[in-house]
Amino acid sequence: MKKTVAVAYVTILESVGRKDPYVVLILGFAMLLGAGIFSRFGVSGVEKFVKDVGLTITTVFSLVVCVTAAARQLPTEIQNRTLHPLLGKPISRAGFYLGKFIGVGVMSSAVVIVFFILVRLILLLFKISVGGVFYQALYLRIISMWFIVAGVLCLSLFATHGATVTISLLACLCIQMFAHTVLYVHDELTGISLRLAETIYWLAPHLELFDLSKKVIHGWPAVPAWVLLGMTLYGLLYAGIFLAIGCLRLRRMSL
Amino acid sequence: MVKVWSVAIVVALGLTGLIGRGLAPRLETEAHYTAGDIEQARESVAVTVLGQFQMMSGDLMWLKTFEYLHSGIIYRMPTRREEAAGVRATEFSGMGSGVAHMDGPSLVPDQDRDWRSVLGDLDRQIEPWRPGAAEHSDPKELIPWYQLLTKFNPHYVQAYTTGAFFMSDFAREPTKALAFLELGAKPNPWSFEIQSALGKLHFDYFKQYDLAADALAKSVELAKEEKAYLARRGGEFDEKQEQMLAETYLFLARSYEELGEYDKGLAACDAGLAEDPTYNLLRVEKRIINKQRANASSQDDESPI
Repeated sequence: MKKTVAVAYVTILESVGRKDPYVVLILGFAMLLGAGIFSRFGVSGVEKFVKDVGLTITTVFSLVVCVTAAARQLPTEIQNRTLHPLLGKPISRAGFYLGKFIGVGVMSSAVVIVFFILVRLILLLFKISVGGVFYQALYLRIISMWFIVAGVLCLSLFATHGATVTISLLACLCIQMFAHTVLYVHDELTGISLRLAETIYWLAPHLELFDLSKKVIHGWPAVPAWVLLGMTLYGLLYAGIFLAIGCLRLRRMSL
Repeated sequence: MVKVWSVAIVVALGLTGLIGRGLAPRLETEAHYTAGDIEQARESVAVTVLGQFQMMSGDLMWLKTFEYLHSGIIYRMPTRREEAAGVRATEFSGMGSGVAHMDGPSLVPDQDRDWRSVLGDLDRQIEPWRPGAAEHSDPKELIPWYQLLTKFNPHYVQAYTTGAFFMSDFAREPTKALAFLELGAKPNPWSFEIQSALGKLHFDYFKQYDLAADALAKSVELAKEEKAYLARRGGEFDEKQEQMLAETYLFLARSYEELGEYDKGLAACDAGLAEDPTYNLLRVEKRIINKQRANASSQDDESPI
């Protein structure tokens, strides 16, 4: 376990060395700059709009940072042949893989927290209050980052770096569209097409269920605790599946 | 360390606010296209794609305003199976014709008709959802989207008229509504809708009846031109445009009435009734003007010379 934590620590250090935190700060600064446009509108009722823009930017930026960071971990190590000396130390491939997962997961969670702090500051600046649902949204967003990291790391063992980034971003952005489309057309489907749609719906990882931003924007009350617990278990289940597939794949890979 | 970060963030906030304030007026655009520009643009693939993007982004933002109106809940039209089972969409026109729409069942289904079991239960908690008929929120919240929409697409006329209506009637900021409409009139000099909204605003909120009459008269002229253009192409005004034109005649007549120009007022009523004989408010206005004229002439007769 110590070695896994060490790999995670090195992953975070590497990320800092690659100036990832500066990217986050620059994106954050861009976000603050965007906040300048709100003062131009100057009409009452701007609260929802400020929350909407802030949370949308947070979602997109944290997703991009998380996916690109996770996608480059294993292909870079394999391509640069830096994986061999690492595995030369007595650490299993599964331990190494888990270390990478924890490292990118911690980094992505930190990015989400930084963005949420920025959004909170902007909301404070505009004297906009948020309820408990804001912090619940932060919690679920962090859980979703771990879930995404597990998926992207797993995919990066099957596809090239570019393909991993593209497929992951498209999947993250389109999963809600897919879920809504199934809900739209479900009533009109019959027979095999109905069975197929329901099966895909059940198997697909529902990333949209980790997104409470609409409830934050429109001032809905906090969700019950069982929902957070349910989503944590759901995230853990899928992360576990992705990790298991990834470990198996890495174990069988000829490096 | 925390102190340094706090100071840095406060300084960044201050700086960005200042930059935003300074940049925004420079970023405001005015679109003026000549026939040559449009012809040239038609031949350019890049401009066509950008134009499509401009229209699409405008439409997406327009849809976003409906999401705000329903507090984040997405409603859809009933399916054929639901219609056969008696489910109907209800019409909502309580906030003016700009956002009139049909409300069907919510996209996230109620528990009794949801096939997704526990995933459905989670979805109903995560997505905004409430049982029963659609409720509508304060339309003031839609205003920033209309403002942003018109930055992306300065030719989205409905965004100017609807946004200005909500600014004046719901946010109680008629001066900002006037500025918004004037901003919209520049890139859309052919729009009778914007001139009509300007005229009504001058009439209702500023009591500047001469300015109201000018804008409304211009609106009528533009509407006639647009109607003739559409007729040449085999088209016609839609229901909303017909309604707006009839209201334009009514406000024009009322403006002339306030200015004491009764003949012009009666002419506006007649012209409006010729366009839409079913618009009875114009008949009422005609009676009022006739009464006013009669009163005015009797006062003139009684006054000592």
